[in-house]
Amino acid sequence: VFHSPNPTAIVWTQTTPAYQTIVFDGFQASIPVISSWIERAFDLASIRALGDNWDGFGSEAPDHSVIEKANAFFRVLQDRDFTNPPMRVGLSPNGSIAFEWLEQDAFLRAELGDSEEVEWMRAAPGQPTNFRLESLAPSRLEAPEGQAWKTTPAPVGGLAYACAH
Amino acid sequence: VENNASPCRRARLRLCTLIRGWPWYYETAGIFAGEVLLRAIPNARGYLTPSMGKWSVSPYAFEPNKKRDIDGMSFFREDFVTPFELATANKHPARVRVARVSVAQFRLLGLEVRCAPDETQLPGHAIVPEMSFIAGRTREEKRRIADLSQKLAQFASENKTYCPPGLPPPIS
Repeated sequence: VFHSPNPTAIVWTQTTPAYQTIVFDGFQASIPVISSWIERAFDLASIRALGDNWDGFGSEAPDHSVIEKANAFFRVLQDRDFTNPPMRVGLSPNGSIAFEWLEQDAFLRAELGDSEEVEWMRAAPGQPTNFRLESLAPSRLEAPEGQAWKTTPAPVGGLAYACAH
Repeated sequence: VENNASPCRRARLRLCTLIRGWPWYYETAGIFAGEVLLRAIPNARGYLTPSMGKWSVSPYAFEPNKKRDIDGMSFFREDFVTPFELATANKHPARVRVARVSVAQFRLLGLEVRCAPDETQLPGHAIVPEMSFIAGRTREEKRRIADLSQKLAQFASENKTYCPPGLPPPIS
């Protein structure tokens, strides 16, 4: 048997794909709901790919730290209420990312920017627009709230502004 | 509101502009209560979602932009420029849509509209000074602007947006 004095160096690497598993806790999500989550995940991924002047008005490319926060909050939203995916994900010209819902006749938005807080806004025709803050600190995100806007919220930073339509 | 710009660009000829004084109706003329203002909005994901009903136009379309809305939120008077002209003036590959809000609707929100002719732009440039981009606004001011933005988005959704022919899919 001939053994080469200088065998070719072969380096084996084994990687495990980083699959994200969605755990359904006691209910079966409908296909439209799952599709909606997938679409919003795609929207978020699309935001990551945007460069400078993405809007045609000179806006800067989104900040990756804001995108990371939005991704983390997206997973929190899935855990909180998988039956209620956001209907829209948007990037503001100034770099904030928003998740938006239409709940009956009200508009609900969770906006993430530079700070470690989520700014919630609830607007409905003929009613004062309400705002409240939610901390992005991991311990605060455990609370089962979010898409389900509380009519009497306990704001982190105070209900600083409300005005009639 | 009048300003000192040279009265070089005349309004388009339409019945309403005839009533408003055409052919002596220039872009330096004060804004009439019955006018409609146009704002180009990005053809980007999340800026127009019909399933969002009264908010099908995203409030972000009316968020002050630090590059575009320095002296006030930028609009164009429909008396001077068509939605098609405004849409085609933007040379971004994804192009833009055009939202419409009437001056009466601005007044409902307590917003002043001021003509601001700019020879480097299309005719009929106007601004809403209260919606200018200001860095370092307080949280309360930001919330007030956010509320105005969502209300303008409701008006724009109600008025329908202009989609130029051959608009490509939103940028992604």
